[in-house]
Amino acid sequence: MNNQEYIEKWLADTLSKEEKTLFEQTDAYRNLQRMDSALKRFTPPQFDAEASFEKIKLRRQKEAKVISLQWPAILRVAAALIIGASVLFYFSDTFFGSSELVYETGIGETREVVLPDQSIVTLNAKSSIAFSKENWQEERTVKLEGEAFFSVQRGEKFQVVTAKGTVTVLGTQFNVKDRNQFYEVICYEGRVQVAANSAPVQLTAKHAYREVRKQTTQAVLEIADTPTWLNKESEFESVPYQEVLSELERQYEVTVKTKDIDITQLYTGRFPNTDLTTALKSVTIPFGLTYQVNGKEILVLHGD
Amino acid sequence: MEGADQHICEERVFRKIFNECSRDLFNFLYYKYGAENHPEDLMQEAFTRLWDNCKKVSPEKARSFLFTVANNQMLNELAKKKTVLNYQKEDQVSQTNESPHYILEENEYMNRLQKAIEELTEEQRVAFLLNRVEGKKHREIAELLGISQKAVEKRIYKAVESLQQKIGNIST
Repeated sequence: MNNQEYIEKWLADTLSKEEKTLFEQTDAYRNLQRMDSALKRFTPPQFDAEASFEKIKLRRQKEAKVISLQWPAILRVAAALIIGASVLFYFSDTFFGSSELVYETGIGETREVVLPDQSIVTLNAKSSIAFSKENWQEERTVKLEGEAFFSVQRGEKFQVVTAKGTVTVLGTQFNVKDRNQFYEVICYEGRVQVAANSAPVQLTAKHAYREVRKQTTQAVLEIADTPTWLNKESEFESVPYQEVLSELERQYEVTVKTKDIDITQLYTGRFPNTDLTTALKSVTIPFGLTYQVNGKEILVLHGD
Repeated sequence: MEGADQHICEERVFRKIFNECSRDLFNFLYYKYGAENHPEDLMQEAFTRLWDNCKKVSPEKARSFLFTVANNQMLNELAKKKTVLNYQKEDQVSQTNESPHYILEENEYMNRLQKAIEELTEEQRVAFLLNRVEGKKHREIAELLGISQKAVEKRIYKAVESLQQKIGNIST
């Protein structure tokens, strides 16, 4: 038996008596013994389980969209800004001076957030951003989940990080969308750099970078100066149908199901974010599809 | 999932799961990310996620749900800090009888060990510390991490190998 086998057996505690006696006379064993006893000092620190549980309860209230006014408790929670559909509570900088700030939107909502340097982020529905106010001076970095439009003040490097990639800019306007299998960056002004699945790519105005199921494409778009969703309209240019339907679900409180439809086909068009019936027509008629509404559930299927 | 009693959305049930799992989850996150990456916050976040999904997750599945969430949590976090794992300093009292040379050597050993542990891959470190510090069985670790027992053993062995290489031999 070689050294490795001894150690493996020792780890699994399966050494026979004789093997143990033999092994215990080796240096390898003494080294392991010493390490093992030293390891006992690496026990994780204690934490206050009660306080933790209270914080979780506090976060849970987000679900019920109740805003608790226990400021001291809130202060102890990193990133616990709780904003429901009615943005009664516009954030107060003084209360959240030291932790990471989080802003989010629900279904069908958009909201504007002013960053410490006066850059403006507009969040589309079902999205969130987080950033640290403390470190803002050193690092202009925003974490994003979902979709947002950025209008960035000139200055040092500005970064938007999502699960799929990082967008780096100097001062410009751009839109980042990171949803399920879909990642898209559109530059509206200036120049941005995108580092995602492929090597870093630079985009200038009206250029888009897109990743669908890890397939990367770049395109020049016929677009306005700002994303249409800022004006309550969702626009798509050659976007997989599935992503269009997902956007519908994020703008209206509905579940969209499909029947016998190719959801990978590409859709170009737009739908209003304020009128469900028109929106449904806009996404079905071009493909010769139809839909059935059943309460909050919508079934999209073939027209005939 | 019979009756509302069994529902995680019930505070009583949720509380029970918290009591049973929070320590393990915290330790797991601590081993994985170290003290500087707020394991307590991450633990709370995992429980919040469990709450968000309380209707979909059965109480029996809660534990593995929590670990799955915790395991994936930091992947899209930025500004991840270096993993730091602190060890408890020895009491002054127990040191008084030791020679200065011994103390020096011991401290040096601890520092080397600490550094070597921090340099392990996340995967190796978690499996290794769950086993050697927590005393968890290979099978339990496999369950927690959702991997095979063989894979657990491999990670632990790799960790031992790497540590032994880095901390070197006992000076005799």
